[in-house]
Amino acid sequence: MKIDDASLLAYVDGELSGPEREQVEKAIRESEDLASRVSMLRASQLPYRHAFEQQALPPMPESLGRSVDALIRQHVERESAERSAGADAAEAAEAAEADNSRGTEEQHGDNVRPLRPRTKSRQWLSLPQWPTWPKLAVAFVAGAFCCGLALRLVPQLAGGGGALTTASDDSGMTPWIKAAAGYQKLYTRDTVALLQPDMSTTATTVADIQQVDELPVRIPDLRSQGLTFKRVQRLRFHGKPLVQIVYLPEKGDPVALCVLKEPKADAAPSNAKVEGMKVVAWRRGEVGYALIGTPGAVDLDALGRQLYDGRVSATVGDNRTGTDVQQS
Amino acid sequence: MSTADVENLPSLLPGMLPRLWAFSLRLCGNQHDAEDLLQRACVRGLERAHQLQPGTSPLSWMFSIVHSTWLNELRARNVRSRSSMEWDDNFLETVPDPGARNPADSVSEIIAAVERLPDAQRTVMLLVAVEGFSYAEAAEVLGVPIGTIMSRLSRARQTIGAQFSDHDTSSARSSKNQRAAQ
Repeated sequence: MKIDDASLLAYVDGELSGPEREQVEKAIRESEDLASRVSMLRASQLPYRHAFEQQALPPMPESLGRSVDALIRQHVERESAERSAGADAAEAAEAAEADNSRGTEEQHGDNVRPLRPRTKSRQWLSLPQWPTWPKLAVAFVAGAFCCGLALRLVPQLAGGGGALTTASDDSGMTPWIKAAAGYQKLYTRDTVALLQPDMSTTATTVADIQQVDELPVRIPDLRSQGLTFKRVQRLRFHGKPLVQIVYLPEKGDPVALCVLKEPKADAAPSNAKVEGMKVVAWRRGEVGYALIGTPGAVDLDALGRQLYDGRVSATVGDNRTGTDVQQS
Repeated sequence: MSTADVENLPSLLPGMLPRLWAFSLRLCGNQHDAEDLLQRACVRGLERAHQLQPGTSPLSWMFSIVHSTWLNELRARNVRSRSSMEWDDNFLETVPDPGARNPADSVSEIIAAVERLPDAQRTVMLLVAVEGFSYAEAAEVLGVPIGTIMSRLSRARQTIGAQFSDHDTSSARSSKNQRAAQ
């Protein structure tokens, strides 16, 4: 039995079996350090719950209670409406309204997640109870997306389109980058740390991206930059294929490389802060790229430049199109 | 969580709000962010209601959403304000505790000791020691292994224990802890 912090805690709290207890007691007799830690743990047996119950917290604002009530009502109404109308019909109508030019998503396959505005989201904003939270749209983005549903981006908050230019804030970033950054913001290290990429699934996804989505994407091998590939996902923004490739750095939150068709002139990497995330974006061959990560964790500027310059090899997809993600 | 629970989330949520509010306040350290946090978490919880797995407690699940929302969206902006709970001056009152020699000190010292912990340890203490979650439930809320919960809890308690041992002669200690320190 290894005597670690967890077993010392279990010992002090009387949660060990007889033989385990004896082992710990023997170790304590032989180690001053262990004895001292046990003494600290004993000194920490305090009435925490009782203490915190005495902490008179400010009451929950009535406005918040009303807001949650309204949310619940909306939820119940929406659920029953969707049940009666049929989710598919509603999805199709909304998608058509959101983007008349979108393709038929039904043909894209089942590993696709929509990333597009839904008009229903507007209802939330018009609730009188809402306090003025500018990032409300992000909350929707988060909620819907994490569960693999439609990403409910509020179109009004997404802002207008625009060329990728160096910008000090997100004003120069296109709506898809804002949506992708809002999504990536929800990722923590724990979100992807335990994922073990299945390379055959990855290869299938990459093949779909190349053949169905018609995006010349490969998975850049960024191990020499300290980034471990974790997952590639096919997403949708306004009905357009959006690819998200997630990497885990040695420390800090995950980094994503997102790709979307952008039929505009090439643009060199530029950086901005979008939704509190650091973004480095560029465009090549009518394909837009965005590297998204937590500010400061990874040198995204350098990484973006390497990808833009084609100085990175690919792990998956290189024998299918002969083009690299950064050369597309 | 059974299918019935999933469908009942809208009816269960109002009853959970007081505990979720207290947890949000303690995570954020100020009312404004706590309000923002809880609102976001409720939006998200309802959006994801159908995603609940059988066997997941709705309460743990909502705690988990509050925590992940705080971690991902709000922590950065309120990390400074937490160090001094903004409502302390106006709201922290202590109720006499007949079991302690100097009850007001004891209560506020315990709270302060927990508040001083690093976030990861403080969160585990709030879930296990304050909210009464089991190790397994806390692991589910935070999305980490049980061993991580135990080691964080152990380190948190060693840190707190050291503070209370240092104050061995302080009046703000229960007789139980005095015994332990001897």
